[in-house]
Amino acid sequence: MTENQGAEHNLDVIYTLTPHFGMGVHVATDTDDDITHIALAANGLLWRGNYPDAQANIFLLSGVGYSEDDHTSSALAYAGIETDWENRRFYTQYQNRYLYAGDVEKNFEQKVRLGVAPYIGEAGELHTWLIFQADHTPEEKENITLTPLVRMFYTTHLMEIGSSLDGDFLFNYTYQF
Amino acid sequence: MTRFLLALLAALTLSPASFAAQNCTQNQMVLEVDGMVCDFCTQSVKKVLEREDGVANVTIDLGKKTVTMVMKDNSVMDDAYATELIRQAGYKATSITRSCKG
Repeated sequence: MTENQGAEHNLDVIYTLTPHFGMGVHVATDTDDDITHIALAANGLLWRGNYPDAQANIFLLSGVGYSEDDHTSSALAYAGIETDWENRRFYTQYQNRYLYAGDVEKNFEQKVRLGVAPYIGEAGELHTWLIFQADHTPEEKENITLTPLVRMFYTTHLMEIGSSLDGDFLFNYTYQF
Repeated sequence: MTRFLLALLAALTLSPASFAAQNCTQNQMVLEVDGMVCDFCTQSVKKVLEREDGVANVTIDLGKKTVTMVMKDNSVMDDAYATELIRQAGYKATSITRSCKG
């Protein structure tokens, strides 16, 4: 999975070891601040609700690794929670994460998403979602970013394209092996 | 006439098609599955089921919330194992019905 918005670029390669646990590598760069993170990531499905017409999940996201900027480097650790609920028409998600990287960076960030599918796709067809995303990073001066985006699913491919109201381009891609 | 009808009945009874039907091992399973709401969900389910040696084909209907599994000849999967495979894929099978295919 790769996520890119403005100056921030993330790459996650996660192997699902069991239906409830995955491990892999998380690499992130911020080209504005010249910060790079490299971490061993461990993600767990804490709970899943399977309903006749909907699904809900709670995930634990975590990682430990190494962080550096132009001046210094540090060990890093992060942890967060992701929850979502979706049916075939509506989608909601909340995600937060606290990251500690010593002198390089310490931050808390959270994100909310609301989405609607303009049509209902069948298995194997192109699925499209219109999503509104709000990011909140309390430490930053302009700490709320609003981003409308389009999500498209096709078989094992998921792509998201959008632009924040400030003009930061968003591109996310996930391939399910 | 009666003799002809009896002969016709015997021929139908012993035809290959009716012989196969009598020996059908219920080789198609239709599972109703909760939580399967997206195309990534269907890919997970297909991947888990198609790993099984006895499974010939898997088709998924998101609208009906069903997974249809056709078994290879002489292969049988019991309900508990099929339910467990769906659980391993991350979802919940709520009912299973069986039928002969073809």
